[in-house]
Amino acid sequence: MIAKQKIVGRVFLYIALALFVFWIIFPFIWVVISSFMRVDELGAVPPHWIPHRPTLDNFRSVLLGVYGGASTHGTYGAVVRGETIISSLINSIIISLVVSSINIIIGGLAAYSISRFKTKMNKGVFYSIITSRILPPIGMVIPFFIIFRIMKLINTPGALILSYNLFILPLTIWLLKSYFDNVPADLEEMALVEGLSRFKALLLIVIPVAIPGFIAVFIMSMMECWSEFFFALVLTDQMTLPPVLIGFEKMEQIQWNVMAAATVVCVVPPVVVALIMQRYIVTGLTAGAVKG
Amino acid sequence: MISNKYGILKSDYRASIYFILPAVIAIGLFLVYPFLYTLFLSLSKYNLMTGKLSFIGLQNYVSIFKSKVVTKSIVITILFAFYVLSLSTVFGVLFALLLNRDFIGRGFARALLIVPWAIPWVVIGIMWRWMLNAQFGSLNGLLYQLGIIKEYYPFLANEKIVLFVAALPAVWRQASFSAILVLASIQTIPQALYESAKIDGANIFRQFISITLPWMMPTLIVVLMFNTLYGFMQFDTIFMLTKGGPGNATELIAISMYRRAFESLKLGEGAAIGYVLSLLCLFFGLLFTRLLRKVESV
Repeated sequence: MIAKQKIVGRVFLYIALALFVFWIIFPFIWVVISSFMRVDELGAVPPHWIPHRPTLDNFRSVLLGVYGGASTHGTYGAVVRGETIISSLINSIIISLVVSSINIIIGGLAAYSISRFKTKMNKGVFYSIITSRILPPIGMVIPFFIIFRIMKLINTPGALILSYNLFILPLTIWLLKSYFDNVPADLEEMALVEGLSRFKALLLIVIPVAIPGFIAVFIMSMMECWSEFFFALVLTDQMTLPPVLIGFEKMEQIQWNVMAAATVVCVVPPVVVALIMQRYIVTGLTAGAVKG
Repeated sequence: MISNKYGILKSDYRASIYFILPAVIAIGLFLVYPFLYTLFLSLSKYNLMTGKLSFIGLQNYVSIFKSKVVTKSIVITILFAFYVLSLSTVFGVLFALLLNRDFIGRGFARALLIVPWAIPWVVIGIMWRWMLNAQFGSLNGLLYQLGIIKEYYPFLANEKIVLFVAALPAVWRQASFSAILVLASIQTIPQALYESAKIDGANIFRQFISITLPWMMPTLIVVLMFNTLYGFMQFDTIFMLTKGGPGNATELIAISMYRRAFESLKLGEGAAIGYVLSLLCLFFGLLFTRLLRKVESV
């Protein structure tokens, strides 16, 4: 009797798991499948879950701007696309790296100060950061637009590098503070007694211990920059990858299969990084969320 | 040498200022200044051609609240946020409970959780739009093959259901995000609590109510807060999925702001809408923060 109940329970468990896996995978699998399809296969009813004549042409056209056999799948505007997606890919990488690096230095110093010294200024900074985590960055884009127009920064990487501080800096300080809170102060106090300066103690004693935190924060801020869409849309003309994807719509006819290939190119790096760095990211997310 | 009012060394006090200073400057420039500038803009008329800024008081607010599109967008956004918040949180908790069980392939299933979080919002919008497409969509294809529908259904064209459907991409992402946090929280529950509950004869449901739920309460509130805010702030998925349509059925505040500011080029009115959105987020954010403090102090 009990054994039977256990088996029924197991069956339900695996059915629930199958539904869960389906829910996660189904939305993106179609983009992946479509990216290997020719345009004449897209509209097949019922759909071809496995392309009958798989092709890499879509990737070739988004990455290299070249494709063969224009008549069969007519990748309209592919050459132009090919150029924009590569330059946007490079821009995305550079912007993410620059923003994350600057912020980890500025934010790291600030987070350490907030974690160790309860001065008025530090408290003020911490409260403004908590508040800014609640406020929508979207609501504050217009000043950036106006000022960057005056400074002739619109449609330059600088526009995004500067404006991304708006949400990357609070994220960095917030997360790193919670990591520093977990590093016992005795360690550095011993070093201070030995005659090290605060800065050296931070550099030589605290940071090595908090390295996992730094890795987590760096990855998370890289991913935020990589994914950011709204500011890139308003302040630039397809400077980074996400707004380029939208650009496929502006063409006379949306080439879903080519767009799917570009989408896959945009998604693979963050997903692979997330899967490899899973443990760091999960600790980062929980440190940021659970500790207030 | 020794302490001041903060009880720290003078050299440390100086160090604390050096350490925090770059951040203070950056916060001033990139956070406080845009925030105040937006407020100022929302009370002004800005001429994009000449760059002239003239103060007009509350006129922008009057005109946005007179506009049916904007007032409707506020209602739509609240409804949208409610969908995102309720579904994401419920799914998130269910996923976490499921993945906390013992089964073959648990590592794989847990790894899957991080995938929606890692995908850029705008791409989530693209994926769902492609999946829901009325001619080529995989959901239509699947339902058709299973014999559930006779012909393809235009999910994004029906005004009655479109807001709910448009909330699903955000739910897809936030459910996973919620599950990651909730799972991390319930993994720290000592097994002894459940053992003694079992001895007392508590069934699974009772165990959830009296052990799991109270334990994960602080996490749950944080999750609720993030889900609410992502609902209110949502732009990317909707912009990709429906652009606010059909009609204005999915025109959230963020979309409305974008249109005012960057399509009609009324930057002052756009700033006013942005401020309304900020206030809404601030209100709910602080509400949840207070709730969290209350729960944590118990």
